[in-house]
Amino acid sequence: MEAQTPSERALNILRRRLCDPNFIFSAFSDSPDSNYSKLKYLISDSVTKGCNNSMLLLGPSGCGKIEILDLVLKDLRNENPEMISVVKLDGQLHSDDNHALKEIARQLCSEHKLLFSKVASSDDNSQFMIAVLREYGLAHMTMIFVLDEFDLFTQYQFSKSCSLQGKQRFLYSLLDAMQSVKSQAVVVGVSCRLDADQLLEKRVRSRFSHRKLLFLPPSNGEIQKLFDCILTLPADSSLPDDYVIKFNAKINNILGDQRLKEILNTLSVSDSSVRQFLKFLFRVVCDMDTKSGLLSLENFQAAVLSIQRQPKLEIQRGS
Amino acid sequence: MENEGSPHVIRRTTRSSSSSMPNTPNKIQESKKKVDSCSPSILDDLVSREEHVSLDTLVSNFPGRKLQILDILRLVGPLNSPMLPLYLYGGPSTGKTSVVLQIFRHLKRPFVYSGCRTCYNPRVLFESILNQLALHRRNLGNGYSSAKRCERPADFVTYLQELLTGVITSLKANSAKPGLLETGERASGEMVYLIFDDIELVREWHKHSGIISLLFKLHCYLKIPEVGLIFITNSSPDTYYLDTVLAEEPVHLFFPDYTEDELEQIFLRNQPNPKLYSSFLDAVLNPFCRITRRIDVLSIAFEPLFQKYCKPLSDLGLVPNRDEKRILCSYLNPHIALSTNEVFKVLSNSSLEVEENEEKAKKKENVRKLGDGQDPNDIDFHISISAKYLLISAFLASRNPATLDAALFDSTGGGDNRKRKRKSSETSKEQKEQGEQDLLMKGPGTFPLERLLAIFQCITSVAEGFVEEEQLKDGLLEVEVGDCGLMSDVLLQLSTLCNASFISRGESCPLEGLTRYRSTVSEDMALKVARSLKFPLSKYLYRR
Amino acid sequence: MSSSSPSSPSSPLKISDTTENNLQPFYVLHKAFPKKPDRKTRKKIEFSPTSDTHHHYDELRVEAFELVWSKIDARIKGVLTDINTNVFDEIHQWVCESFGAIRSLGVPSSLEVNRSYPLVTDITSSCSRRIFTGLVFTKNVEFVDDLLTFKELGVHLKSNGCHVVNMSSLDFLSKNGIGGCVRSVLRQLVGVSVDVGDIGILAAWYSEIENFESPIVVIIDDVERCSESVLAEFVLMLSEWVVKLPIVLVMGVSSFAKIVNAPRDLLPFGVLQHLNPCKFTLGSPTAILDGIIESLFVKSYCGFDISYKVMVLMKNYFVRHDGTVTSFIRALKIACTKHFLMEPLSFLSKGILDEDNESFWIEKCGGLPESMLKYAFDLPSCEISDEISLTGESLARDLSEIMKMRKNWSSVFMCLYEAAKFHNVQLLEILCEALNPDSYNLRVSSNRQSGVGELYSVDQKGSQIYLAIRKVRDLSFSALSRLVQFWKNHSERIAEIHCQVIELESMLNSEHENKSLKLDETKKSRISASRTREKNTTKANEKAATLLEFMVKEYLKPVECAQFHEIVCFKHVGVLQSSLIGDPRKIIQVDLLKSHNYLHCSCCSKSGDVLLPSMHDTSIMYTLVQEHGDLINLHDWYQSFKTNICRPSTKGKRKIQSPLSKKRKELSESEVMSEASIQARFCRAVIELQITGLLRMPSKRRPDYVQRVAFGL
Repeated sequence: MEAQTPSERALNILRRRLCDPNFIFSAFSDSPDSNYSKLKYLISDSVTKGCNNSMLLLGPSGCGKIEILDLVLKDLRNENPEMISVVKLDGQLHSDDNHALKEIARQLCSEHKLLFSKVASSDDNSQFMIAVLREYGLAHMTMIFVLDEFDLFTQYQFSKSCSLQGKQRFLYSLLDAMQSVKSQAVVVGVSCRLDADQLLEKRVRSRFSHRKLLFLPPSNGEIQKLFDCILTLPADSSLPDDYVIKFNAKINNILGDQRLKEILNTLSVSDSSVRQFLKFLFRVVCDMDTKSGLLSLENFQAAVLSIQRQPKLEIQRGS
Repeated sequence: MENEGSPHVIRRTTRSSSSSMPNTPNKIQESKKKVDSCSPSILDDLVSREEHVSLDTLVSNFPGRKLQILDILRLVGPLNSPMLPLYLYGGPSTGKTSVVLQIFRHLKRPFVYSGCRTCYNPRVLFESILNQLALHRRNLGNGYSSAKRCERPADFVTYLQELLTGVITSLKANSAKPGLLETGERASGEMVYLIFDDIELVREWHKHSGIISLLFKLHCYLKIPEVGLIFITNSSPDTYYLDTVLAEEPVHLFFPDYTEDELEQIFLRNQPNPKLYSSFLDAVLNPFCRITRRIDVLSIAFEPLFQKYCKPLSDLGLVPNRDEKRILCSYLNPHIALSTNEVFKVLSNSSLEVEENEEKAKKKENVRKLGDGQDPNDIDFHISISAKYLLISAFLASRNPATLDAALFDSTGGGDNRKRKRKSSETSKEQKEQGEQDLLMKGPGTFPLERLLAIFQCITSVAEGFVEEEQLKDGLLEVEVGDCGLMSDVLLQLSTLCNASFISRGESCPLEGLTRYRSTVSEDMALKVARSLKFPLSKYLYRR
Repeated sequence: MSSSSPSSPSSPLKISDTTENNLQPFYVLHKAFPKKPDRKTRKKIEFSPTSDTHHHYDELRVEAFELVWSKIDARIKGVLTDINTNVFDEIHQWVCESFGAIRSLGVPSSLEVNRSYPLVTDITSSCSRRIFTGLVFTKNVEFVDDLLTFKELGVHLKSNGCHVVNMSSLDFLSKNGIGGCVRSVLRQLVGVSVDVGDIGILAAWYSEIENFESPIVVIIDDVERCSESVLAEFVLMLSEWVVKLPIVLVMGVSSFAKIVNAPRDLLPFGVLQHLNPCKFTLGSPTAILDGIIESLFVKSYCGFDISYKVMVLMKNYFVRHDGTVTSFIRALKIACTKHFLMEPLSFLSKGILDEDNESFWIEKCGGLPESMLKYAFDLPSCEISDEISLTGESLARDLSEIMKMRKNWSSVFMCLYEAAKFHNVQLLEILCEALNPDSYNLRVSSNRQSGVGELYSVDQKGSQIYLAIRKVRDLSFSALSRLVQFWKNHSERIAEIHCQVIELESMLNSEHENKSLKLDETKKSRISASRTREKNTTKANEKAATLLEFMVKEYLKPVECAQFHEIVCFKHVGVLQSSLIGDPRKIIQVDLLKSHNYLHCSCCSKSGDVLLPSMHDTSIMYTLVQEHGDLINLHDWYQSFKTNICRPSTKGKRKIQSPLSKKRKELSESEVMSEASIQARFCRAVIELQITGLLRMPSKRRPDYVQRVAFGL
């Protein structure tokens, strides 16, 4: 692939950045009062203290809750290896408690190179989970449960044979296990419903600590910062320096431009989440013309138009 | 910590070995092995096989789709560059699927296509995708079974992750080794694209409501940047806001309907005599475009019309001048008006047609001899007399209000009910006007079996008169065969009518446990049947 | 025999489940009726001296039956196949054409077939994404006949090397959804039973070399009963595979109007425009029936006849009840069985199929035991009075006489029917008239007192034969000559008619040529020429008509007018009717009213229709029901029931009892029969009546009334 022009390579770099959440949200990681640092503090604290903990990450979707959590976990792993193991569940996929337990067992097995048997009953799986929890507690290792789409776990109605325990059976059994066994584990619930903790049953809520982290859409300053750090090309890359300089200069004066601010405002009126912004930038980057290899303001205007089109009307107009 | 870790190792191994199921790590291994072993064939299997098309031929193949093609190319991006999920939408037969397929033929990149029409439930969808990724070919050897049995979304995601990583690593190995460059083809890069077609159908899978949002969030679950998702549907994105979280929505691209001249270009693409055909299109296209712009519908409508258009012409090679065109158009116009209205055209083999006609004529003769003036053009299929009476009585039962039965027929089914009927119809005249209104509103009503049978009895008792006239010559036989008359086997007839969907059977109501029926025949149909029996139906109808 | 006699189910519910699933004509056990002739024969046979001879003759009858019926069956099958073959060939040819059309869009490689994505075809060619669909128009609401037809169609196509799938509406149930029909397609073609049906499997199978070269034909035999949504799904799915899998649909449609005029009856527009339809027509049931009857009773003689009344009954049954050929054949089989069962001498009809039947009859009749001979000469049709000629020989003579007569009859009838065809009479009609002995006697007698010529009395103006002869009078020349030709071929057996026909023919020819001469020499205006032609042909027509009359009155002698025709001819209408039209609901009610006929108890058999307490409760109740309308007040009903139970018993006792002890007696009676037990019996009886389907339980509106469900039914 040596045949690529620098502009194509630049395009490639930009697209990679846009599609890589770690890169995007690492931009937020430095400031001390960001969610990143709070979250990192909470988790690492419970890791070092060796105690159970549970928290909720709430906020409108597309604001990088799960991404930042991933960042935190990655960093923690790097800082103290062999101490943490993460189990990720998604309310969309594993809301049925049998499936959830099975998934936990599967992930644990694959992490510890154990053989995972598909036919294991949910009781076996839960016993296995409890056993592993206990071992972890003895080994002073922390197990971190990440429950994405937390509200779905609460909503799930258990309507199979043993429906005595009713709803939220999985959450209950998980939290109960954590309490009963001398274990150290962290349960992180992620949800875009701000009232997620109100959804919990009493017996579950009593076992759940109500530590909440609120994720908000980025402010204009943050947006600008993102804009800057996404679109400026790295100087050290394989790209020819003059091209990089020219490109970044162009970006800078576009960023300084008043019309861009208007565009960003119109964008944030409809939906100001990070993901929306990324979509916007993605379109922009796609429209970059490869001959000059530079972004122009027209790209931005075209992109905002294409994002703000109204599909119903198009169908009506038929054109 | 190791010796602490070991106990579960043993326990687990023993348990899993005791349970004789194949286990996931091995699966990973073997699937990886498989992929590696036949890594060159990945390109054969996942990359489209047809010869490479250049960009401008691609554009020229799809008149009026240049913008969309370029957009897609930009959004999909150059080689090895990741992409956000892409969402193509537009009306039916606006060339979405074919454009995408041709683009991938142009790009020569590996992709996995799955149409949700053919994959009509989650399991079929999952397994077909997995089969394609695992390069699994179903054949007699493996009993046409798929590579993995996969029903739950969770399993699907995990399997997909394994297979995709396997495929991508082998792709990387490919693109690393220079051998491919000598083949002269463009290297197919490291990206794998999943194409989902007709995903609007997924929302109609009732039991599996989560699937659509699963598809939309697939890139969040996979977290593999080398995977590109492309959704194709004919319903606009905001119809999915209910199913999935708003911010999950991918990058849109809209395929508008073709404009009129685009249609003309399309139809002119491969015609033997474009001049002639264009003159034909001038005549036809405009009136049809007011109705629809779907190419498939139009092409079906145009084919016979063009034949009619060409009929007066001697040779199809010539180019008509203006007045010739005018003549041809004037010749065509009536046909246009007809074919814009017709919904469904059935042509039939000539010989059979003829034989059927003469057969019909013969039947008509027979019937005239038989005495009841049945005309086969009215009822074009054989139906026994008692079934006819049953049909009529069912029609009456669902047409007339139940309160009127006692007036129309006397419940004993005596012969003299005509007089009674007339009287009663006078008494009940004043309520008829508004009654007619809500009849029209309500449509055919339902009735219990007893009412149907009662009416049937009355009608037949009236009708026996005709029947006796029918067989005057075997009068003495009436004594014996008379009671084999229409009454017996009524229930059999009823079931026949239900099967032929003349009468629809409603579900039985739980309280009284009897089924209610409703006749679905139109009024003129019923009148035809009545005419074939010489039965005065209109006298029994409620409104007249 | 009981298994072969049909009956209609006894409740609407039963109907609904039986007919939803299987369309086959279903048989239920049916009580054999004690009819007079039946009993008579039994008596005769019991009288027969040694039971082993009797057994011997039974075996003879059985084998005769098997012989005859096998012959009849073979004939019927032959007729059916003859009728269907040309339609089948049409369909096959069309299938081949459409396969060619599909292939012309491009032949995919096996690898392309296995691809999941559709081949990009030129959308403007109207064949792309359209399935060739044959709408086979079966002109019958009943579907029983056509099931067999479609199976045969499948066999026919398969023998011509197509892959055939036979599907019925059971594969298109809405509860199984699309998966159901795909699965059944796979099961029939691929032969694997997969738990989830995937068309991809079909593609994989089709792409194998041995399957690749021929079209796939999917036959859906009753489209109207399929669930619309599933059918639509199926069509849409197939339409995506059209080029890869050359699938051709064949749909059986009963009413053509449904598909064409009102598409929304069956399929939505979006689906219809994926079909590329073509229409075929099966033979109408009447046509099939005519064919069968002609081959069975007219063209040739297969040892079994049915009398006029039976024929009329079967005709009415066909026309009025269910117009299915299946049921007609079934009726025929019942008749045949009953005949050989009830007629002790029926084994003799085996001789008819025998080539030298003379000797057969001679030796058989010679060996007849006394009882049988006696029975034979007691037959109502036997006119021999004197004791001398009561020998097997005479019987044999008469039998061969019958046979000759029957042969003449059939050949003459062929001639008559050929003439009658000119005004398109239905075969059944004219056959019935030709079989009618009364009209025959009338003809003969009327001919006796009134001379030749007008041999029809006024009341017979409507008769088919009369019309046929009238028709012959004004036939055109060509038609007449054709007719004469036909007669010539069919009248070899009867010498005198044959020669008459021949001279008629010569006369015709002579007329024809001298007329043509006339036309040649003198060029006359059209009108006069035509007039002359009329004038000339009338002579020939007259002769033809008189000849036909002659044939009719001489040779059109129904079997029933012959001696001993009972041996070969089945006459018992009642038996056939009772087993053909079981009418179980009516039977149930009748039996309830006369329960003592069945439980022959000593107590209440003597009593006519006065109610006795010893009767069965249910029958008492039902007899009481007769007094009410279709609404029955429970209380009155109960009271009358109670009185009926208590009253007559005491009355019966009173004769024996001394008057003084009567009072105590009554007391004890009332004690014995406590109120509770009566109510219990009442309730049980009501329940039974409800179960029988004669009553409906009180509704919420009228809590104290029950309703009668089946009135005269």
